[in-house]
Amino acid sequence: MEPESARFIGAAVAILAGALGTGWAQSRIGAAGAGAVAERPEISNQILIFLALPETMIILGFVVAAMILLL
Amino acid sequence: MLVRMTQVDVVGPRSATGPLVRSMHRAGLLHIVPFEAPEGVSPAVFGPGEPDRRVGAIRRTLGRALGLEELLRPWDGRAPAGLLEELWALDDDALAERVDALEPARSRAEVLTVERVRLNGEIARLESYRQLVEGLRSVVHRLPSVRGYGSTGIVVGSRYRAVIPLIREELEALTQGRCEVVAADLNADRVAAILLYPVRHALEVQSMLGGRDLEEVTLPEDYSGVPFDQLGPRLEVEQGRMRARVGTIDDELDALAADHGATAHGLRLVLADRIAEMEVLANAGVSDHLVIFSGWVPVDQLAALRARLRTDVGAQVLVVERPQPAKPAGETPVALSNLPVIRSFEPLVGFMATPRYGTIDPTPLFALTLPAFIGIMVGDVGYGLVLLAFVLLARWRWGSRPIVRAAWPIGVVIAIATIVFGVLYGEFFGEAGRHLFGLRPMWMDRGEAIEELLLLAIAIGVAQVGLGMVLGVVNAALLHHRSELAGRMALLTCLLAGLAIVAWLAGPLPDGVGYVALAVIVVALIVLVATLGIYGPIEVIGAFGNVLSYARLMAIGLASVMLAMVANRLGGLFDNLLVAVLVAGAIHALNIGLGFFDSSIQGLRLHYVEFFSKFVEPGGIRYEPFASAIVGGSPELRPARGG
Repeated sequence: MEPESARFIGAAVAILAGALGTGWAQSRIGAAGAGAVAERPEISNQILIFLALPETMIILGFVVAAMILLL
Repeated sequence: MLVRMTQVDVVGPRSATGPLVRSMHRAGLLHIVPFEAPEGVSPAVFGPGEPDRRVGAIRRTLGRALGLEELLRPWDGRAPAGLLEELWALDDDALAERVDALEPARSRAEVLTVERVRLNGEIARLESYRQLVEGLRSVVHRLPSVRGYGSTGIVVGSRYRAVIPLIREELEALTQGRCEVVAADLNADRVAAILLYPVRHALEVQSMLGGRDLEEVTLPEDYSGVPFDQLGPRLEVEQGRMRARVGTIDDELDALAADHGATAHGLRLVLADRIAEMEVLANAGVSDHLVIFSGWVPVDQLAALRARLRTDVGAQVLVVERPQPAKPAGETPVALSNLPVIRSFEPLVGFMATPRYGTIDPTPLFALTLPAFIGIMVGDVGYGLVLLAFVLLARWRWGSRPIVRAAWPIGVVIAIATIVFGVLYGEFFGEAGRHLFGLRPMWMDRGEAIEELLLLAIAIGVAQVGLGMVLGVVNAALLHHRSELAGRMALLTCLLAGLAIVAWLAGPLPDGVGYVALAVIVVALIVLVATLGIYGPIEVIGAFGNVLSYARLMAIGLASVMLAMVANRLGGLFDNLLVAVLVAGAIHALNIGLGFFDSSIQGLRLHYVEFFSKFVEPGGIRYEPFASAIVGGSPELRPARGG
């Protein structure tokens, strides 16, 4: 495999893994959050923030991919 | 900033308890806490005040006033201060008489409300049946119209259509064949059926259907003899009659609300005030001759409280300051005092936690950096102008609504930040500004300078997380938490040494600095383990993760600029100008909605999780002064220091 191809594949894997992890975590938080909001609508704002928490994983994946491609 | 508070004891003669409570209530400055005898005073001397026997009767009057206000809900104004003063001047019996005087209005509003609920239910039921009959128009002519026969409509999902023949069999068995069932598809997903059966079997049919998960619609008895093909128009006419009656009821309720709403609201506030004045005695310390209320007051309001009590009650009332503790007490209530624009952001800060007394108020920093972050992410002159127009429109159109009143200044600041960064990026609806009027980036082109933007985002992360750590050190010092202070300083040292090592590895720093940084990081880690335990080193990794998390500023910004570019290019594919504008406008509208929503959530998250976690000490108690509706009920009369 060409080294250049390996870089692209590595960047894609970094994004893919982060996206899968974020998606899985958000699906669990979203489902639990929807249930919680149904019982206590006043916590909907907090749930929105909780839902945004796992996005760190895809952001970190993005940073790693950017480092692979740019550095 | 946090307002300086002081704990005081308000001491007065027991004989003047009533005027003293009334004066404190009107002053609206004292955050009352249960009285605890100071050192040197025997607790046995002071007991809690006895509950007033009138409180039960007033509570019942309040219940009636609440019911009346609930019924007059269309009224959404405020009780004028003059009315509150007038009601406050009445004694308990006169207040009860005022509530009694509203009894005819209350009973009329109740009758109207019950009728309104019944009619709305009836309209919904007829609508369901009408839709059913309309949906089954093709087969409904097969149904006979026989007096003494009732009908029930059912709706089931298409994949459960097999249940209809089973229901037919059961119905035939129940009525000895004196029934009819017609069914047809309502739409692709639902099948509807009408069951016709002798009215005397209605209850049995109901229980037969009850056990199944079916959507049931029963026709009112008045229509039992009407031919099915005439049923739709008849139901429509009846619905129109009912809607007209609901409109008349609404008009009458509005008129009642306009006539009596303010009085009902005022009575409710004043009665609640009376009860509060009676119940506050439970927090007092009462001896044979003295009554003492303990509480907190802003230092700069202490003189005003003293003057007010002296004027209202007399010179025999003393306001005695308790000695300030060496370190801030956890039970001290927190009042914030910020500039009006910054004050708009207080609810967003308090949304996660109220900072403890004696620590740093994060609101000014939050008010500066949250709009800046959203500006960095969205950064488009056109989008900022759209938001500004929307916010000003909302203020003009719905300015009286509390949510709009609270949020519009935040919206304006965010719109301005978006416009400023839009100018710096040279973006007006993406690159459209470049083509339309030669707008050029003053700072960087986000579409091209991806690497620079990523470095900028990480640098912002270093600055904000570092600032958070410095403020954490300051807070630990202010609260005299020595162990926390050492741990936070070690964490800050780790971050700085880590950055020095990264710079050394990247080249700009000499070897000597790198080795020193390595040595420093080892020492700092030892301190961290000694102060925070095993979680110390994990905190260091977390801190670097926090810094990298700011990359979202660049990632979301890049997504926003790319979507704007897609909008313009897609629009450019069409020769027809109108179609091009519509297509581009639709995608820009989506980008504006998504951009502001997502960047707000991400901006809040960066503050709550990455920034506040480094220094904000949660667990503060909000300053809630003992304030009458006369000062607390109308914003213009509210005390200067609202908690």
